[in-house]
Amino acid sequence: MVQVMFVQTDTELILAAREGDGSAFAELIRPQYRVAFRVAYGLLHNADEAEDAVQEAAFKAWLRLGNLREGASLRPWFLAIVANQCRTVSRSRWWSVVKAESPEGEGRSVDLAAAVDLRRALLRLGHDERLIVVLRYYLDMPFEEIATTLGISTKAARTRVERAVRRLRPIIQIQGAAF
Amino acid sequence: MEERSLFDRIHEALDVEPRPGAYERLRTALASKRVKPQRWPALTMRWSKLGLRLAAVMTVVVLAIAAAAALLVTHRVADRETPADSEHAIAAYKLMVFDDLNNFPATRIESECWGDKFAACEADVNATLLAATQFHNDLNRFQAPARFTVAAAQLRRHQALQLSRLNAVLAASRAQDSASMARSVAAFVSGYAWMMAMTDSIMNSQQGTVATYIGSVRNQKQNLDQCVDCQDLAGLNTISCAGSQPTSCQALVDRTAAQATYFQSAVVLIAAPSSMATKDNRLQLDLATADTALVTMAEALSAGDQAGFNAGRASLQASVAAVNVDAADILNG
Repeated sequence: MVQVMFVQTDTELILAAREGDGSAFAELIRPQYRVAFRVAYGLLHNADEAEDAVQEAAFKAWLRLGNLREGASLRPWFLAIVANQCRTVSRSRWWSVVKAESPEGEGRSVDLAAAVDLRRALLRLGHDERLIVVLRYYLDMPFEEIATTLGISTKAARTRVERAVRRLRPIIQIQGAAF
Repeated sequence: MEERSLFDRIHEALDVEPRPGAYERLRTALASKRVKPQRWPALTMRWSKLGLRLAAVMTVVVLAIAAAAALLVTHRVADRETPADSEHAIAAYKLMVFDDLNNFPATRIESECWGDKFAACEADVNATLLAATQFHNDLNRFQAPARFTVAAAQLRRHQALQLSRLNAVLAASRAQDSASMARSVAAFVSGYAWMMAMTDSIMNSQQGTVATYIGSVRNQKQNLDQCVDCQDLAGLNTISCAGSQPTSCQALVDRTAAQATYFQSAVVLIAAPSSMATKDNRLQLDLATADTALVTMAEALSAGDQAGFNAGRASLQASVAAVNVDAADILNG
């Protein structure tokens, strides 16, 4: 039996999604799902909240699909919506104690302590600074893509990364001394 | 080298993949919705940045007035009808904290107040100051039920400090002094942690039993004993914070403060049963003294004041020793 696969292009998927086809929009963002989840997890430090935030952001992105400019890259546009959704989640819980989940590999107590310290240090950064650290050092994004995602210049992206790193430096240095 | 190290450590700290089936759940959710996305770029009202800020400030003002009116009613009811430590008084106090915190704007001070962004900074600080002042006033006006007496006193101290830090940010911004603004913002942001932990414990506070209260104290005491930095700082070894040491000292203070905060908030979250109220009160008072000492040390560090740091540390040493005695008294019946 011959199977015929229809592979829709992004343009076709966008058109279908604009007509109200949720599956088409899901297909469109499938390549971005993992990176979107990692942005959300990097900002919220909670897998359940990160999954929920990406889902909520996906709905919002679908509704705003008309705002995506012709020829513009989907990824930075979608990641910006995910980041904004995470900001909303953080706002709604800003007074609560953030119970960050333990990273995997709990057998390594020194590594675990260092990881927990770093995550606490990240949580003490403001949303925008944490976002820029996540984009740069967790997603390994070049400055140009960070700039596109945040809607700022490449120079401003570099400056903001440097500034966030300065805030993290004490904790990094102390961990370095422990190894 | 630092860049590489940061890549590696952040990957180690955050290396989490989506749970199995996460994307499929999203797909199912999207497929089950019937929405009609905007076909073309929406005809949206364009707001200038200044307009948005004015609107935000106006919203905050309206919300603050509404909250003040609601609180006034709550206060009157609480004052007129309830004794200081009734369930109603506890609920009213929790409601006051909840309402006031809800009135805070999602602060972006740490994002806005840096470099030469003085105008944006001032708008954000003003909005936050409004809510912070309201909270401060309510904390002073509202009689805390016995369960929260010690916590409320510390809350007032911390909130007063946060207000002075906000005012320092504002003054630095108006003077266009970037360095001073950065220092004040750092102090303000570091003040979040305690406020968040304690207010969360107050809002979720529950009456504990002897077993749950002792279990909570035992847990926190173990954490304190296992905190190497806390033991260093509360121990008798010499710690110099001169020259290149301030960052290490800051980390020692930060980690000890985190541990002290967890302990303080834990005994508020699970309130002692009446049979243990006296012992609990002693423990809370000694924890509060440790907390005040840590605040003193942090302020001394930022001012480069070794004598002030030493004075704070002496107070910390005495209060941690007292906490150890208090906890042993509770744990040993």
